[in-house]
Amino acid sequence: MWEILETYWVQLLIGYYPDGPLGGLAMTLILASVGLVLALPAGLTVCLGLISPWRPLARAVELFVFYMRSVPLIVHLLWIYFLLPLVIKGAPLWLVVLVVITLFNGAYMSQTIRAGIEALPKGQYEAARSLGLSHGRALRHVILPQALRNMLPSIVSQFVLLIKETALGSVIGLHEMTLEFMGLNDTLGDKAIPIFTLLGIAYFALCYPLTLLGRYVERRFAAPARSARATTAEASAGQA
Amino acid sequence: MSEKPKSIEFQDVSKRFGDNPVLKNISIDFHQGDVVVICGPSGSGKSTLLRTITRLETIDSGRILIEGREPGHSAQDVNAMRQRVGFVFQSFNLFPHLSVMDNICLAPRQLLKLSDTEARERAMALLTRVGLASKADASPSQLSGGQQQRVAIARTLAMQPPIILFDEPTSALDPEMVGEVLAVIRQLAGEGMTMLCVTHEMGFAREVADRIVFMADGEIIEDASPEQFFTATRSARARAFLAEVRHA
Repeated sequence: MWEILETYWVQLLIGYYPDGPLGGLAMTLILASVGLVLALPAGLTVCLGLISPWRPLARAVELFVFYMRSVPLIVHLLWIYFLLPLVIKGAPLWLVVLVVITLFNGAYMSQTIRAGIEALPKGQYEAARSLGLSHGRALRHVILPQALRNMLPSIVSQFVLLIKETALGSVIGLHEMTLEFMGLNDTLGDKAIPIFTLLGIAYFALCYPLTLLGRYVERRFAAPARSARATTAEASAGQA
Repeated sequence: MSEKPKSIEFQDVSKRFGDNPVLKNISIDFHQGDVVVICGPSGSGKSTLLRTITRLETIDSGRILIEGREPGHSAQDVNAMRQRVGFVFQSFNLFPHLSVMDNICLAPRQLLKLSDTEARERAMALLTRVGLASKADASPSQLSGGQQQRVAIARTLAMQPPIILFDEPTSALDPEMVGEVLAVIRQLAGEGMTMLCVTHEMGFAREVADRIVFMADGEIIEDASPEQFFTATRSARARAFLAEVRHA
């Protein structure tokens, strides 16, 4: 395994860059981090649609979420792969993957956020509205801060899924980490086991810290009294 | 009583939950500055009556006028109406992620566009009034039930509503905390706000209310001064209710 790493580490890290397209671990990292940054706002946006008081919008968004969740990710990927170039001329492969994982994870995350909202006592929303706050302000200042906090562990585990989903980029020929390793396997011919062991270790190294973070977050937020006090302390520190 | 302008008017209001009518053709006026206690057995529709005023519940027929007119149905109209009609809940509903101070300041900052300093000054004055000035930076979870309800009252008062509705404000409290909350409400009663209070605290009703409304099965059975209500109760339902509450 070491010889493979020693010889090919540059290719596995960045693909054929700068002579060819960027690839390898770097591409996977870029996809994952941009995906992570986009997925939460996407999930929030979809969720706001789901809980919109305007029925037709809520229905349409519900249908979207239902569709996203009922079709395999790879089918979405193939579909966007052919659709996106019609909308944006010469759309690069990484953009295709990014659009797909953002929409897909947005749809799933919207359900998580909605569950977080529905788990709050109904009185929270009623109290906010009774003060005269609009639906939007009630969500922004009262409901979402609580719902997102309660759902943080689930959101983190969704992030882990997202990182792994970037591997599907290999199906449409995007030179992210998985395809890079597959290419190397073709080149070397008889080193499949060490090569894919390395690939597994690489994904593990990316995802395991996030899993640990998820566990930490869960433990921390499982103790509401302590975290409530911490928040108050932060708030008063902020005001001072 | 009738010289004062009308604050809230129910005109033939009905509401049902499924097959179950909870308000049956209610018509009643509440006047500016009135302190009205609404009582009755559970399921009589008294909380629903209160909640329909600020449209926390919809009504099926009839009209509810606030300060002489029926608020419009646009979101802005409803929000504007709610700024003028405060609501205090049985379960306090403080926002647990905000400090006591921020609970009170949120709506004035957002809706009245008060500056940070103005909002905090107003909140501090209200906290002093409800006896909790020292708890401004506490989190709601650090307060007792009675203290939470007093903060909730301060939060409602921060919008300076001319009308305030209390929905069983002491029912979720341990007995030893009922007094401190009632004391705050009693103090407010003399200040000219229109107050409607759903409660089972009959001693408080007798002492503070200008008027007592007794409801049962979605109807108003009695509408009387405390004196009349407690000494010359006419209906059998109300007499039975009073006997039960007194023995509780």
